[in-house]
Amino acid sequence: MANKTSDVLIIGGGVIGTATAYYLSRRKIRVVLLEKGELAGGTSGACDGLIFLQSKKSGLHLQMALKSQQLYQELAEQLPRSIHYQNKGGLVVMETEQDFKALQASVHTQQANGLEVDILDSRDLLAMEPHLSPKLLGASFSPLDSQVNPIAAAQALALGAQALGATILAGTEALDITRTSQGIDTVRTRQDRFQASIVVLAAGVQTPAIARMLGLEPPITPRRGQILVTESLPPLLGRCLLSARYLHAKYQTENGAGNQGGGVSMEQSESGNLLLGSTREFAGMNRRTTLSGLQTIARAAAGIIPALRDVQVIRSFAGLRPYTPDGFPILGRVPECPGLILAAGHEGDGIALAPITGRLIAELIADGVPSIPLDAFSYERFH
Amino acid sequence: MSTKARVIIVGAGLAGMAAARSLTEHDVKVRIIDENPHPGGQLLRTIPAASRSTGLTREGPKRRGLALLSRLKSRRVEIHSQTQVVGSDGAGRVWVDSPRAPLQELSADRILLASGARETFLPFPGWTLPGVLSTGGAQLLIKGSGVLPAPEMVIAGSGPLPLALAREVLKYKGRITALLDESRLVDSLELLKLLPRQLPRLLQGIRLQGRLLRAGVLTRHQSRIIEARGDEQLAECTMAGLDSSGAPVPGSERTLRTPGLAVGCGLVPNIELGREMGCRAGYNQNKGGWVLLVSESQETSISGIYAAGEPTGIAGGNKALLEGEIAGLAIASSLKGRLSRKDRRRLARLRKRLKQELDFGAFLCRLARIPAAGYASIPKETIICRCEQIRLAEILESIHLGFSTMASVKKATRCGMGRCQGRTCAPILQEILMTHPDAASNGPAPLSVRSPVKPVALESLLEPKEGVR
Amino acid sequence: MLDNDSDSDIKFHMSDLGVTTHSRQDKVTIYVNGLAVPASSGGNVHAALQAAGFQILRRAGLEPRGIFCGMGVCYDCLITVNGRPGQRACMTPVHDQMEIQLDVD
Repeated sequence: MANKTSDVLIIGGGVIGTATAYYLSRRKIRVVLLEKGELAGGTSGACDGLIFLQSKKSGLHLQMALKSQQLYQELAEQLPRSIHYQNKGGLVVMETEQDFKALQASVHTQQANGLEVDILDSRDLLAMEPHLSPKLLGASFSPLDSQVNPIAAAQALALGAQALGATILAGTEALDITRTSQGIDTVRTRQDRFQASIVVLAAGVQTPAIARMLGLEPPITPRRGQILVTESLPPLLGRCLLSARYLHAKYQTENGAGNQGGGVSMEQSESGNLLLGSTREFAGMNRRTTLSGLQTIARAAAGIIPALRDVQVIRSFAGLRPYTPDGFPILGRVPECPGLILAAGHEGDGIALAPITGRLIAELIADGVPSIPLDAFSYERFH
Repeated sequence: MSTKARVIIVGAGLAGMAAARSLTEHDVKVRIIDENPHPGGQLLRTIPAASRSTGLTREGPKRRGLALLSRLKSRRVEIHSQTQVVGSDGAGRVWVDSPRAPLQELSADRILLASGARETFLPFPGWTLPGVLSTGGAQLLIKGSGVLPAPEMVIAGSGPLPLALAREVLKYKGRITALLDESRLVDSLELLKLLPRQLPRLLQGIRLQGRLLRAGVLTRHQSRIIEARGDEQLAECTMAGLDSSGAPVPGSERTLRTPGLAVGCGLVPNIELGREMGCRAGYNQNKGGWVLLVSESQETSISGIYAAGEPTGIAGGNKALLEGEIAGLAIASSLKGRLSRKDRRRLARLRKRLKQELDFGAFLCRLARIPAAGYASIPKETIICRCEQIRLAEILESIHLGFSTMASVKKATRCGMGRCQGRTCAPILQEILMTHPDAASNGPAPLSVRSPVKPVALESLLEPKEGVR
Repeated sequence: MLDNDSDSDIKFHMSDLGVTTHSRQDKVTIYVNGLAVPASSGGNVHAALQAAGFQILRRAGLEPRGIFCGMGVCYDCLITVNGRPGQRACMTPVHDQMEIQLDVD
């Protein structure tokens, strides 16, 4: 068993961990990243790739998402492999008068917050997306909404970090972490011991189990999101899409059995497959899809694109989103555990917020002060 | 379809039908679900419609298969054709997809997986051209429908299927341009070790070779098709001789003009549904690769879920019949209590015979197996994943970048992400990785399985039926 | 398939299998891209297409594809049957007057 040292040790090889590794490596900080399975083998590999700005809460949340979207544009140029970034614009479609009223109000707030967004009526919407149901009342449209392939993004970020000197170790599980009063002592894997002055915990829904070894209890709960994948199809949907009802479900924080609102998110990937999502359910660590969950998504999707009735569903999967009680991630140092930085709990915003999260954590480590204050995301807000 | 049967059997092939008979004999209510247009599995699909209706066939597993089918029909066992089990809730309820009906969730006290096998291949440039098809598929076309894939054919590959196909092509007045076999002639002689039990099969093989010789067809051993070409459809292919490692010998290439080419390199078990349900699988080259692990009673690692026939190891029709019967008796006993003395003796006899069939299966698998050099010599431009059109070059690049496990290659390249869910390419990809110096240390691994394990129309998810939660 | 027993030498007889679709091989007509094509009611669509000379059944991108596995595994022989797309030709039984659309242009 060898002792391996680095400046920073990152635990977690999803989009958050790999983005953090990449931005740290750009600052010439020596990084080792440990991933127990495959890169993007957890939630990052079981979600859609939407970078939706319209779905973010006005204020800090939206500010971070806007910045993150810019970073994705840069990453698409910088990284050694394609992340399938497409700035295609996004629609939030309205099915009922109630949707219409709610959306009108939120669009005004978002415009006031600096987001470029407009309301389209039914005719404009159909002109933009001819396969959508003529029954839809309209949509809000923002040209900034984008999409990436999350798996490709995590792999490309890891390769980018590696090219800058980072060590990326997939198939390497952090089995044990010991600490002293000054900080974290050693992270042990089956093969080696790792020592670093700073440990970044970016393990998504696995974060609480690892934090518990250090006596910490971050309130991150798995919230299951089921997604349907169709066969590869000719162009059917040019933009990213959410239904207005999906937004209600997203911010419905009570312990619901599922996506009761029947909302849906949709994207057509570069390969032509449609990803239709997703439920939001608390089911522990159970990653199975359920028939009722898939039926809910299928019904909602067919209501928006009627031609979907005839397409084949070729697989489904469920990802466990790291939910926190207030819907915001936990980012930054933990006073009671020197040397530890948390970067987890993004729920469904992990893909959208990964670059800005990685960048802010790198700034926190390299400069001591991040360019966006992290106070609102502190661990202590829950304790 | 009501939502409850005591036992659901997935697959109406020999194993499924044999189990159904044992179960109905013990008055257990059975429902068989089968995706084919007609029950009987792939083996009975090769019986021409005409002789199937009269029930005329020679001795052997097919005859027993026909007898079983007749018995099940007369006992009015519920058989749902063109119906697939595409997933489960992980707790004993299965998702059933039937034509023009919404997906249903059904439950049963026990489930038997008898989902058969499929062919595997050694890809070459041009293997996606129309006119190139599998040896099994060609056999089904000829025997099942009396349709020759082409008036003249090249047949190539390993294992017993190419030979069996050659016989059918001749019988239906087709011409054989060339019959190529990967193996060395002496490899087939290994069957001698299994004498005297396997004497009938040895004689059968010799008779078949004799018949081919009389028709002027000589099997070329240690030979392979390395490329197929044609504009829009197959026009010609290139054959090459193989060295002792199984790599093509440079300079030995020869062009064969042919409108038809059938290829196949043995069978791999269909275990996707079992894995979706969480059953443990193990890798065994002598059984055809990844198989569902079962107890002496054919029960998988998940209590109440059983497997029989090819999913537990490739060994042909007799083994499927035996395992089906054993599973049927074991399930009956688990539902109804202790078996009679007669049944217990029957079980012991079946298990003894099963042992011999497993030896034969191991021989078949060894004979069909392509050596590492075969996979290592696939040209880079060759499509590996037919659904997503992923070429070997992309897989090699992924390995070069450090994404060298099955799961990470799939993630990096989309190999195995298409409609067939990796059924065709996963066994090939695994062999490619296992023969690559930078990936071999990962060892064999199956691809992940996601429900629906076979594509379903989105429409079938729209209106839930009565009895569905 | 693995067991090379021949069905040419007839030594066994069974009265009724009850497999009615196989008991008679009625000649029927199916329509392929509007063209009338003869077929046997007991068989599957892929055999009828093969017999009538339709080798290219669809395109994967620009690449032509035809029958490959012939047993429902590979999903290469996808066709539109009576308006329902994505059906496997090798797993679809022939019915009189059925309409097949091949997407090959």
